[in-house]
Amino acid sequence: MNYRRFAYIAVFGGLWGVWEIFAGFVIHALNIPLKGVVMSSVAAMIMLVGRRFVPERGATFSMGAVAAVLKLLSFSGFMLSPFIAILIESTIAEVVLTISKNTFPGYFVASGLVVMWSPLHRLLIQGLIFSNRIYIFYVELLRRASKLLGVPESKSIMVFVAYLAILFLFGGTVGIVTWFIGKNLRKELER
Amino acid sequence: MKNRKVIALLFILIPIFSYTLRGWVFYAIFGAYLILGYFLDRRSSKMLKKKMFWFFVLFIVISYPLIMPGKDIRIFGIPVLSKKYLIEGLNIGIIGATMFVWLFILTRSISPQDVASFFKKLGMRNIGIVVSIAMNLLPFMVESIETTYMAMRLKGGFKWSPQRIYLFVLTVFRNTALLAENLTIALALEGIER
Repeated sequence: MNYRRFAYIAVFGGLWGVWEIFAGFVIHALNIPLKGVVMSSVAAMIMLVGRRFVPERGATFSMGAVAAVLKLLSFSGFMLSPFIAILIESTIAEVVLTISKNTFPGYFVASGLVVMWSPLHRLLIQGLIFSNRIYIFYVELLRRASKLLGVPESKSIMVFVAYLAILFLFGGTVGIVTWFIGKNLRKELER
Repeated sequence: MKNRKVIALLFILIPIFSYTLRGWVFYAIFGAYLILGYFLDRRSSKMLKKKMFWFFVLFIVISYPLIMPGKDIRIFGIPVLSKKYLIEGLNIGIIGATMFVWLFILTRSISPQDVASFFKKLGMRNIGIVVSIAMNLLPFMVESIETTYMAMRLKGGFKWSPQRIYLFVLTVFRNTALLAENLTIALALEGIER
């Protein structure tokens, strides 16, 4: 590990930790809608800008590990769900960016998948806590939502898929913005 | 908590039981879990004594049959709840209560050192040093974000226009990168063990 990599992982992991501890606390306390999407969008921005400065394998996961440990040490105590969420998000971004070799499409896909993960994470955690019986409840909610939207019941799963697709595109847009932020910053700092 | 491995094993078994068990075996096992949790950990016994905790469980039990179709329980002649799903809601409530109690016991038995050793096993040997550096930098970062925000407010108010948000984000990242650059120099001068 060189000094630069070491420093960037500490600082960007720390920034992600600050976001998770302070903003996470406020956002969850206010119970704003789509809080998972807000949290994961900013997390994606931080880890992808960080990756722009340290484009090496394992850097993004390391930033996630730092943020997860900071969240663990925060005043809210050991909260398993955000801890797992941070680690999964950083793993998704790490895998995509390593495969794509830190290219522009890789940023789009990584950010899109990270943001798309937030509702799936909730389903996964609730499935672990309340067992698979909770999914029957969600299927019923989905059926009602599709009825409201005028979608046939047989295609109600499409409502959820469309929601995930919207999140993916939104996350992808965040990824594009992040790509340019990182590019401008690197140029500015190299000057 | 001394016997972490036993606690972790018992915790892992809960989702497996919740997916596989049905009928009286289910109630017996989960009842035993709640009783064990009550006597095993003083704090979780406190949690089990709280009214709010049971209100939360009751909320889960009731909300499930309220949403689900096939309402056959009538109150003042109005169909309100589904009997079949009321039992399912009760089962979900019991599983949820057990998971919360055991999650509480498990998380209380895990220390930050355990987490650090977990990351060490993943090949991240320096996680302890990186986290301690990041922790020391937290006040600087918070202050830097606050200063950026205040500076933007003083320069004509912080209106939530996309351009101003972009400028704010850019400045925060710029300050973070500069901090990382300074830290790189400091680490090189100090010669911290790599």
